[in-house]
Amino acid sequence: MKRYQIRFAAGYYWVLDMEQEGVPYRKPLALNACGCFLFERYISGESEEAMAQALQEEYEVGQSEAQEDVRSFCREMKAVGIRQEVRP
Amino acid sequence: MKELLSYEEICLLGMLKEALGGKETTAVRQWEERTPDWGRISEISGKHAVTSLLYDVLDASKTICAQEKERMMSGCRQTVLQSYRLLFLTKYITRLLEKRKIPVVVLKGVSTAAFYPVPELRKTGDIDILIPEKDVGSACRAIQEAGIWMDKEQRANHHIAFTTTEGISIELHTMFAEPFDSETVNRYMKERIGECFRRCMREKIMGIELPVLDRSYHAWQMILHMLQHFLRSGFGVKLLCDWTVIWRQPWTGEEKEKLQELVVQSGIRGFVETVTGVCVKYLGLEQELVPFVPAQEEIADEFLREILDAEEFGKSDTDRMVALRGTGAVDFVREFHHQMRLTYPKAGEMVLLWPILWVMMLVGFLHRNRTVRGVSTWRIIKKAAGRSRLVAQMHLFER
Repeated sequence: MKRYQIRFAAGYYWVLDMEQEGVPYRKPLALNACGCFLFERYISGESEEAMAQALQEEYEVGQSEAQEDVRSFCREMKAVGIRQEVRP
Repeated sequence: MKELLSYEEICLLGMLKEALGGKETTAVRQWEERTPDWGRISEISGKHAVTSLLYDVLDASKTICAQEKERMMSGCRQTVLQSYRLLFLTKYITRLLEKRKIPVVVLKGVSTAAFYPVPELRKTGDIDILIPEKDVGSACRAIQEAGIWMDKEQRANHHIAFTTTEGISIELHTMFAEPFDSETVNRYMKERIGECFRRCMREKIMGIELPVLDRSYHAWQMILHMLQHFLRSGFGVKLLCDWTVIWRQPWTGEEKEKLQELVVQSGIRGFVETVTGVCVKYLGLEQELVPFVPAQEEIADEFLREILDAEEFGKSDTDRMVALRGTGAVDFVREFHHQMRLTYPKAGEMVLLWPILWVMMLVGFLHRNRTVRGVSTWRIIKKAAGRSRLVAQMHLFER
């Protein structure tokens, strides 16, 4: 089973930590569509460069904006304790 | 003649019908044709705990004002957060008890939410777990050792209530519902516990595997729960939504037969037909899915009016106390005695004490009406008599 499950409800993508026992409780993370797009790449171990490239292509944003968004996203993930899976 | 339903109530029921995802979802959207009072819809749906079910309908609506929409949708997101909290806490409690080899089944809450198109949008307030009566002691110890307090005041005879440090209520049930005023039915309910555990299954709900009732027992428990509340102060529209969505699950023929047996043997077919009648007429339940004949439209209408007036679990009026099985003096006396037995379950077993308990019950009832409810006893009796006329048509507990 994957550690994180993404569910869509009430307009948000909710990232649930499925490995938790329930006590203590780790709250779900609410993401918008773009956040969800980045999360799937982040969790599968993609590099920041590859994520920025994918973001640029999918959402038609400039390179520097994409890089800044990805950096900020990865920082947030680390801050809430979500680590990237190590790619084999 | 006064209309049965207000325009806002009609719109709300139409929206729920669409939200529950039945076949007839492309019916006329009245709320898009003529703008309803959205504030009133928000108020009614909130009182019936169904606002969150409307998320997609609200999102698509062109007549709702931005402010009201955002207010209601923000409430929906709170419901989603609460659903996840209860989901993981349910996982924790069931695993905790299973580790001690205690058989458990999740009742209501997340297990019923699983029947909805988006389970997280069904508002749930607490956790209900069914365990065998013989395991009550060890289950209570396990829960308390986990730092969850047993409530000082226990208000029900069929479950033990606990509260977590976050204020979430956990109820350990040993019965499907509070005892009714029919010993035969109560005995029948008790005898079915063993079979219900044998038929229970494990289902993945929002990604978490949990022990749940099979569909026949799930539907039976649902209807007993509705009946229990209906005979007290009432229940809201959310439970009708539950009854609608459970029928869209992949039922087997055997499960339907089993449910029919449970319903007939517990003498609640009239109630089931009434609930089904409302769901077919107003919430889009497909009649062909249900192995019961829906009640006549007039009875369904009267029942729906009663439910809309009750709000979630009869919180609406202080004069809503009970509904009797009939309208005669015998029915009042029988209900009074039944309430005494529920209030004093241990002392009530001693027949010699009954006269004292009746007096205590009567004094307490009159006192609470004056001081707590602030309503006259006559008004309560009148209300009960009115609701009882509806109950009488259901021939409750007659097998």
